[in-house]
Amino acid sequence: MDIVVLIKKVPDPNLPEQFVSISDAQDEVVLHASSQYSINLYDLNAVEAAIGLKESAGATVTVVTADDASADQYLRRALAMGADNAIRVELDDKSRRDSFKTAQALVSALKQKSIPSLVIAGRQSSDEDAGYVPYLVAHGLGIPALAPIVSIKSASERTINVGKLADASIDEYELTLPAMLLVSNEINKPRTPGLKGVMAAKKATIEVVASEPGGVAGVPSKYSPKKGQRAIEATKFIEGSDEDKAAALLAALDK
Amino acid sequence: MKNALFVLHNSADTRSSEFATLAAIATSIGNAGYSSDLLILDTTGSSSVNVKHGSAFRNVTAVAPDKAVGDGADYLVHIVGKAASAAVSLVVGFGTISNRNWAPQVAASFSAEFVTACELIEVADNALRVTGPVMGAMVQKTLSLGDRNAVVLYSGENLAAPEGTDIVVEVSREPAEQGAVRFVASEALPDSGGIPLRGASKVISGGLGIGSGEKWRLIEEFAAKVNAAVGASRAAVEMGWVPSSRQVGFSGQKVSPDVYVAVGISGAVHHLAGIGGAKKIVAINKDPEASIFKIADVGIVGDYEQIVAAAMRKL
Repeated sequence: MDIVVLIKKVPDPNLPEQFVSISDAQDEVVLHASSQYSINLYDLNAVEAAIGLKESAGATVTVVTADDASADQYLRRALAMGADNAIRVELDDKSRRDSFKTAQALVSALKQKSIPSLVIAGRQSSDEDAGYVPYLVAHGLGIPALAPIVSIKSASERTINVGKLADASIDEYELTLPAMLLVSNEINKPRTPGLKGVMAAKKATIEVVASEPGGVAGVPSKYSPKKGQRAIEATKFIEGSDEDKAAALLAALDK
Repeated sequence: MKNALFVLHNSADTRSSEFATLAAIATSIGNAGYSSDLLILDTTGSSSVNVKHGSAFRNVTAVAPDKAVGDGADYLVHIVGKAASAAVSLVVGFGTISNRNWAPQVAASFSAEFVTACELIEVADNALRVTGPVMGAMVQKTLSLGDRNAVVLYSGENLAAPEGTDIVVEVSREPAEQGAVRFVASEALPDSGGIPLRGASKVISGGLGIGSGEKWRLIEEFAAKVNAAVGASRAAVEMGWVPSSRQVGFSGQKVSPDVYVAVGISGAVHHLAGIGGAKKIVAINKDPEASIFKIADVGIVGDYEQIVAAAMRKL
């Protein structure tokens, strides 16, 4: 099985609020220079799922991102976890903010190779939380997609059976490959790479593919501060014993 | 004249406020020249649907699959894809787990803008403007759609129904295609004995402060005792204590219960983004400085285990 994993560099999801501001022209979100970045956490689940399939069923795992060289460390982390190859699709900052351009760059890079049998991505990225790029990539590759995936039950060269989260159940689906899976964090616990893997990943070659993002672009975004918080007159603090507090809790619940 | 297609999954859990909200949006975008149709996926098993405020729409159709399709996450890719032909420039649904699967696929096939968690759909300069949170809800993002096609999932406040009447439509069978994605079977979630988060009038939510997966049981037991749905912060979901279908907040679900009880939840911006519509918020936290208290009507500082255990004894 030939698996491609899509990953993305994102601002640290626990970035303090005062590090986030909006440009004067309101056309971009500006992060403080000392902001930290990380790999999108769901993408680590995606890498782990691919490596799990490699170990159980045999597969070649290629991890792909659309970014500049600052994202190489996250590709290397995936290599250290056990991915076989890494590709960086060179994409400028402005195009990376556009779902359509990002997807077009990824699709054209993937189409230069053969279409993978399985593409795995995180269900959404913690910056925009849109969860759109993987679906645009799936559409560009002409393959079906399903989310959010919380388990992989079995896999063969032609089909894969997965658990998809629904409101009150986990639904099993069988997909004919090739297909795109968007995974959620329930699917696994991403492994911590061993020292040997980390050392090997440091020396690994990252294939760099140029992109010429053309075609459709998104409409321009305009940013504004978040909505004001829920307005309350005053918080009524309950003093006294645990019994008193329990009684207040039940009273609030009409019990 | 532009055409919009609204999509609603009608099940036993569907609330009348959902019909009202869609009808209100349809009426308001009529001012920007949109004519709206409503497509209902009906999984109640009945032969007709009473569509509240249905007169707000030009056409209402209701379909049911000929076999089980789970939550419709893939079935609707095909059904909505067919209904939203080239003449449809806007598709609107709610931000549910199922819709978050078919909606972006329909959007991709039309090169349409896709908005996952839209809180505001406005008419401005005879066109639509849609706004939703990004960056963990620290920032709002607005798109002026102009002539661009869009698929928008609405997670904003419930809206008041426009003037109009209910209509009754027959449910027609639309076979599920035997495509590349095939539904096999549903397996109940461990906590499915609980009340669904969607539309719940009481919610008991836990966060990182609960401490462990074993202690999480106390939240479930207490919620069951007081007829409340179980909710969770992102941190509790990430710890694996609870499925992500229970996540409340920016990247989870928005809830508007009568009472929301936040236990061991510090009150990060992305969590607060999901509870702004709650009528009353009770926060229990051992840290008196926790930011959850800034938006809580009732604050209880203390050890939640002792307080919840005491409350359980009183029931």
